[in-house]
Amino acid sequence: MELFNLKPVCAGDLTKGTFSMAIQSVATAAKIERESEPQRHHVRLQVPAIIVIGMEKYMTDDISAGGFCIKAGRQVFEQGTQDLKIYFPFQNFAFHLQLKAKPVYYNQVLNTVGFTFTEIDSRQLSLLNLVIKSSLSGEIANDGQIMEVLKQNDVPKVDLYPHNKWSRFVPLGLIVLAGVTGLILLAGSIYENTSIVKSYMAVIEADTYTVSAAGDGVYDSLLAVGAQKVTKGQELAVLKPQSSQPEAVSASAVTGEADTPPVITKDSIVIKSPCDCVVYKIFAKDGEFQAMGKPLFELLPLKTNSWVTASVRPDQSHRLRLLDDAYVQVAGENKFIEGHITQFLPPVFETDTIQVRIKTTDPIPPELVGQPAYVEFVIF
Amino acid sequence: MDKARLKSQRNWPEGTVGFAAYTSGLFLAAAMLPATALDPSAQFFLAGIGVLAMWRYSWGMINFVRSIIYRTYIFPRWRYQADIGGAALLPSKLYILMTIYRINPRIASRAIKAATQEAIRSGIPTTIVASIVEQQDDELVTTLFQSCNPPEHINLKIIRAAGTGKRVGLAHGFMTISRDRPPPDALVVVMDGDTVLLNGALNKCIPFFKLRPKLGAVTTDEISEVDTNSPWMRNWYELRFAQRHILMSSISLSRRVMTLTGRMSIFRADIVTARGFIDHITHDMLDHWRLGKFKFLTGDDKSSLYWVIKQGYEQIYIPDVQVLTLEDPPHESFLKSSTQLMFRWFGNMFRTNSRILNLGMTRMPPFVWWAFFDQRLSMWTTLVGPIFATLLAIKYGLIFFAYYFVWVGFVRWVMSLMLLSARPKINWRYPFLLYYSQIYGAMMKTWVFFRLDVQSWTRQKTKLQRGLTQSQYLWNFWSSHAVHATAIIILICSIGLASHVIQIPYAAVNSVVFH
Repeated sequence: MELFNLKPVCAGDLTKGTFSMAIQSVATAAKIERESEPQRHHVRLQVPAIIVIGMEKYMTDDISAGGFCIKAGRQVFEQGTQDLKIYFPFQNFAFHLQLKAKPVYYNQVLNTVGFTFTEIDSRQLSLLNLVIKSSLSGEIANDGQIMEVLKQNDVPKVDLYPHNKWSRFVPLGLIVLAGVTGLILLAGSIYENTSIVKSYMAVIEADTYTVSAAGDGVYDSLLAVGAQKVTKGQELAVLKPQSSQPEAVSASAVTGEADTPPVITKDSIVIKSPCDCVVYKIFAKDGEFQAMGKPLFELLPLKTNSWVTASVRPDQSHRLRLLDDAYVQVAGENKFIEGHITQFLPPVFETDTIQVRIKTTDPIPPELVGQPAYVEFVIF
Repeated sequence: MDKARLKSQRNWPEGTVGFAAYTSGLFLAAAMLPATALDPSAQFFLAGIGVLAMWRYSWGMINFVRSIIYRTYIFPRWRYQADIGGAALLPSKLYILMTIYRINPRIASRAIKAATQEAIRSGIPTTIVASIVEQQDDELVTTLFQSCNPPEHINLKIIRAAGTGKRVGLAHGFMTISRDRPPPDALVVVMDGDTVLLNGALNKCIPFFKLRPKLGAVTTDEISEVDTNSPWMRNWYELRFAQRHILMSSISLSRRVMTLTGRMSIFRADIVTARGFIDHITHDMLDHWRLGKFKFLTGDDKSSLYWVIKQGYEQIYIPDVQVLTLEDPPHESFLKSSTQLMFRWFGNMFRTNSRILNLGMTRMPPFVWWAFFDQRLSMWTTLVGPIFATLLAIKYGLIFFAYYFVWVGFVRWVMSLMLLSARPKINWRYPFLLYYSQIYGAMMKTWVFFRLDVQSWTRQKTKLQRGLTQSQYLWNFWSSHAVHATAIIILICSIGLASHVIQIPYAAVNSVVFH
């Protein structure tokens, strides 16, 4: 260790008067050492070298600028400081250093002896440093005993940035795509929760005509099979009384407009359509006896006044206001029909819902009346 | 009897009164929670949080139980063997490598003096290697070393390195030790210049290396003296070290540790003088698919841990040995200091984490592997609770926040009580600091996780300059933000969808597309 004890440097560093005692102590006890930076650049390395002590040759386990380790027995350790030669084999030549070294430990388990150099001049040290530095920077192959010393930095050169790795754009693109998708989902969900109220259930409704029996008689339909639309004044059915009782017929047979009264004769009562309508419901069957006043048909005028009645949950109803926009999707239809809230109806306690009436901007085709629907109210 | 004697006989942990007040406040808050919140949706909320908590806190409970087993049953047996082994278990040579750079001289003085005195007490031939940068540290070390009047077998080597980071200072120290040709049983104590070795610390640690041939390194418990006027900062350090004590004890049950702290760890000399180890410490770097290759500035302790695990060595934690760390927070503000420290700690953690995981379960027990994996997982799972509570509060009302915070207060109350197994003190600030560390820490972790290339020293106000072009810098900057934002969005969507708070927004799509 004394090899690298740079005492002049030490003394030079501590020239202040306050440290004069320290200098004295260092000088006498030799406990404090300072190392220069070049010395610290070397560690023990497995550089191939051959140590010749007397007539014996040993391969080094490792070597440094401070010493080396060889496979050897206790007797080598006990011989004390010795003159020796270190051979460094190269590809086409070899060189050796003649040095003195002192054994510092013997490892019984590994059967190795560690030596430290006791006398080494600056030229030898420089050479040793060159070999070790080359090894440290990766210029020496440990196992092939071949040394190819080239000028290199001792720090591995690395490509510090993946300039040409275009492939990194692909995963980043996928990640960003996932992020945008998530953002849309999140934004959509927030928008939906804050701006949209959904109906619990809804149905299309409209004004209808109910055509009832104008007298007692056996019902006989006059409509063609499958016919849906009828014109105003078109004969719908005939009621044939079992006995002649035309005087029993007096009241209007139609709820609503009464400008197409039934044609009543002794033999029959002819029921006529009060409007250009769609036959919505037929309550009677041919051959059945129908008493006076019993409903026979429910008719929807082609130009009917239709609307949507929607149910919403009570915890959502307070978010709705009159004239709020509503979008109605009739079951089986893809298209949404635009409308707005026109009325709040009394709650239905059986279903624990609030009912809302919606008037659509465009009329709903009469054939859709009675269909279930789904309504979204946009509250912002 | 005098008051002091009465107090000692009561034997209550320090801080009991404050913690009792916190407990009272917590139970009062729980009692004041409105019953109206306990409707079906509230119960759903509580059940959801409960399941999440069970999942998350079971990991903490497992570590707590393992820690108790280690400290109560396993380690005492090892300690007994070490005690009866006596001088036969001591090494023939000891090195103490201290790195000192811009540490408050008052702090460094205590550390240097304690190390010298401890070396003398150990009775082992010891070389103290002081890796320094500035001349005044040379004078400081020399003076203090000599003031201890060390015997012949205690030596001091002073090495000066350029102030380009602790890694370089350490590497130079390792090279110096290597050139000294340490005998095969030599040990190296690697410590910071702000760590005080307490009486007998070395002699209580080093016998384990001869007892356990596969042992590569040990580390110890830490206590801190914090140079601050902020009680929050002081308590935060106490808390972290208490948590560390429990976690390290748990992991050590599997003969591994999660960090070989640079504050004070002991290695076999064979390890630290190996060329590969020194190269690894000096040039440790990460090749990241997005951020490129970059060298590590800090985190030498994580680098050394990786190396030791990779070589297949065991590591253990010595729970009955404490070193005193003299903390000098980088800022007077608790928030700024903790942010800066967490940024550094978590960055170091994540920069090495993936490599350790890649070693697989063949190099470490499955539990330890999972513990490292959990470091990645925990930052996300920790955020699940507050995000879930926020989503529910938005959807159902703010009362859910009240429930959430009472729940949080209760869980942290239990966790604070668990810390009593590690330290004989408790504090009413612990529950708040626990929550802060977990939530803010998790947020910091997610930030750091996507910006591994951003590094800085604590004592130097400089950052790593990689010499990137403007476009490379912009790529790193914006891609980090994009990936981070994506991760957060996916986390929120996943929690929302799983809890049915968020649903696929068909109505919104209809509204935009069809209306």
